Amino acid sequence: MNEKNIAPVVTPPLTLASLTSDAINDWCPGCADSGIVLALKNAIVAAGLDLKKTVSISGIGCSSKLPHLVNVNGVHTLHGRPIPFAEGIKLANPELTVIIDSGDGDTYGIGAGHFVSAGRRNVNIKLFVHNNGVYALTKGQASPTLPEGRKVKGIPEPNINGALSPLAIAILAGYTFVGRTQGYNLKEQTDLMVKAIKHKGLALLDIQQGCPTYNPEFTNAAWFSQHLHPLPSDYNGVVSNPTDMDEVNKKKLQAINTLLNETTESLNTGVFFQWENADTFEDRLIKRGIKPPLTQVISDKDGKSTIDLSKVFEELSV
Amino acid sequence: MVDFGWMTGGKQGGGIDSALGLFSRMLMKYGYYTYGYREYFSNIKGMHSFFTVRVSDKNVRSLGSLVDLAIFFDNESVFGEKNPSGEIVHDGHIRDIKPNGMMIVDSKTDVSKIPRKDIKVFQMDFDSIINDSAKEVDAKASELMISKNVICVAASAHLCGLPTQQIEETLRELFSKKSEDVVKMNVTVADKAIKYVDDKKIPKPITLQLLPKKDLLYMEGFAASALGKAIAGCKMQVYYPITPASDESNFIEVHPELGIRVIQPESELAVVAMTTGAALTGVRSSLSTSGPGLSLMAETTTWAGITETPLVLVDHQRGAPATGQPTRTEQADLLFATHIGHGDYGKIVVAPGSIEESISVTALAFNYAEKYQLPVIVLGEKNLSQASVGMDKAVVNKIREDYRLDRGKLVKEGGVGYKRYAFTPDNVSPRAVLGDPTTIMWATGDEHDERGHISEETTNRNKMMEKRTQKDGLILSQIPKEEKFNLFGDPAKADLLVVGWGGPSMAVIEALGNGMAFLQLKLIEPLPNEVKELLSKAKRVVCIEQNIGGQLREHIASKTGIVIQNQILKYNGRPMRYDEVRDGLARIMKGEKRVVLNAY
Repeated sequence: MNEKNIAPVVTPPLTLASLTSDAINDWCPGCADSGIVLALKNAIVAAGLDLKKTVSISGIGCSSKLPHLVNVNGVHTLHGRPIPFAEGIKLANPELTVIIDSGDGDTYGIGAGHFVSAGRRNVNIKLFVHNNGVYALTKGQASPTLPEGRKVKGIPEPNINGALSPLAIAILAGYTFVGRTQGYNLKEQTDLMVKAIKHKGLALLDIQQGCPTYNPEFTNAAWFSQHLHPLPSDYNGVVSNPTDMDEVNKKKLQAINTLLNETTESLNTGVFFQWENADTFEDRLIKRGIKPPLTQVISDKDGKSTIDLSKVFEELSV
Repeated sequence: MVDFGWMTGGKQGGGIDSALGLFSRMLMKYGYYTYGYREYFSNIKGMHSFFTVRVSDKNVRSLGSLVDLAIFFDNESVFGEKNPSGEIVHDGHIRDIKPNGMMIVDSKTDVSKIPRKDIKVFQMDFDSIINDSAKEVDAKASELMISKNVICVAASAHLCGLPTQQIEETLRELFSKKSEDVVKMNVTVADKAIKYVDDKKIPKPITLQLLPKKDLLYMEGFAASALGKAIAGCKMQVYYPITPASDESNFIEVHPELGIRVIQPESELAVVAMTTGAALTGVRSSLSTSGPGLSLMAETTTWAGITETPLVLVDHQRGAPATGQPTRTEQADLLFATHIGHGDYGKIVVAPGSIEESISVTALAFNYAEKYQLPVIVLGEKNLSQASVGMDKAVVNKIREDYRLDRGKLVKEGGVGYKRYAFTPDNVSPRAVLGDPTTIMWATGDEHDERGHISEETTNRNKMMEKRTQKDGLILSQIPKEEKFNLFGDPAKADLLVVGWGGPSMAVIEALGNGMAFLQLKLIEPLPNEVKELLSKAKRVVCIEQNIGGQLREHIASKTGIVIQNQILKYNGRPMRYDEVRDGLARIMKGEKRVVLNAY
């Protein structure tokens, strides 16, 4: 029951076909969500995950229908809440690989409190955010990542709210893996998803997602290829000596500086920051001596409780 | 029967807080049962708090409104306090002494201002006791100020007839985890206090005889609900700080040997989502909160409802609505609990009526949740969670021995095509958990088909709604009577049937007069069928509860069509005292329809 065992041998071998469920895909034609789900299946195969030990979790919105389309365990939660659901699942059963696919409104808007606080815990879960700048399922209102002044179809006037920088927030909050990719680039997405899955700790992968219905002008494949660029080849976001806090901070600053230098017209993709070796929340609990819940026997064969109350009795005894 | 009421009080944060535990344990060691209750402001330091302990050779479980002996070292505890505008902050405790009872106050307190001639007032020079003790242990008097509670406790125990040696021994034991200096300091203070009482010839209001030692636990209500969880096999507890619920989680966290992971995330929204997530993996998980937290948890509770996920929520109710009265008691969450969130779905609401039941009912909640695959809300209240009793160890052992974990219908070999929400005759589907080695599963808060995939089809919608909301018959047929309610007296012969629930129950039992019977409901939702039966046969019925709305009465009316005609209510935030309940019942018998209680 330790974190290294999260990818046991898969039997029978996973294939893309076996990972496709029979639920209906009702995304719009051309929606990047379809590319993202394909990349996720690729990544599950490439990472060699056991589908019975894998949980796909989502909140509410277009992207959040994803768990129904993949033949792994699926938990389609509530608007804004997939992160604490996922944390609860992972802390209850650390053997599970827990992957969230949710939207930008869900994660950075209504779920922002959870998004930030998750960084304090570094639970080993993966957060893949489908970021298209709009609340599409409710007909295209502005999301927390739509730049100020940008006009999209679902709003009568250009966006009056400013945009968040979720990657910078994640780095300051304590995320140990922060990356960005885009939904029309299958290879880059798959690679980064595999890296995130293999990373030991909390990983954010912000996926720029095309919404052909409500934000077609700024999120189409051509716009992405023109405005999104891989991080420069000399950029290295990975901390090489995980115990060197100086290096950790330098890498964080490098990532934040890079993010600050981006414009709404020019964004980078790739791994901005990765710090392996930080204690996950599971590590911290184990250090306190509290074993994973499911490894503990709670009853005998007759259903009698096996809890040992002798220490409590000792303290309460008069 | 020995029945002795004791009280002390003072400014919060000044050391007085531990007096209740000290005095209770001292008397328990002497062979007596105790029932204690703490009353305090939502404040860290400086406001008035007070502690009441009832001492008896019988297993008492409620408080009267008058005490035999009170001891206070500050003027405010005696005379009360007013704010700068002259409005009352609290009344002080002069009125709380029994006729012929005794009050001990500081030597600087102006006793001529105490308007009662029917009580005995004595004075103690607290400062001189502190100063003399400080000299003896070679410390500063200021370092000993914290020991004023020990003066109160030691003097009181001495006045109850406990031998000095017994008092010293208990103090040594209770402070055994502290340094030798601290032990010495407290024992010295106690000795000086006892000597002071003797020198001044303060008479003993009672001389308790040493009783055979009982095997007692000093059990606080929050510890009881924590033990209920531990017995049930709960291995994950999630909470967000809130009065008066946090004590339960803290208790679990300081007992890591229970093997329960305690997680304190960013909000109640996170708490309920984490707990539900953990439950999906098959772990018995739970949360602990109070009314405001439960309000925030409503949406996710509906998710557990539609996904038929076993979720155990413990609500230690407090004065509501909004922030209300954080440190006071109320039973005002009943209708919210039975209707929590939007939409129709199956749920169970239970309410323990004593600290013993805080253990047993909480443990049973986990069985109900898994057996019927729905959220279960345990309605505790501050009246229970902040009360303390001397509990026979055998009682806890029996609850634990009698308890059987029932995980409900679990899937054996799910395989491909497993249907988490398969339609079954009893509306309960074989349950898989995340990580099941035989299958995968889906859960969604959208309406779904038997697989757990989104479905908006009409017939499926009807069947799913019916599946989730029509488990009541099954629940009521399977849960044994003794888990549904307690019945005291014979309702068939009674002139008055009292109906109530939760914290006030023990006071009601004590207050019952001749020709009265008491129906104490433990299973609130679904409402046991027996309620309608009993009510329709009763001559006269009164519903007693600790809220202004008469929520149990309304719940019963909506389920049975019977509107209970008489009510005893209390909503001032303080627990019901058995003597005021007795008066209230007498007034109902004389024909009053609605009695509002207001004891402090």
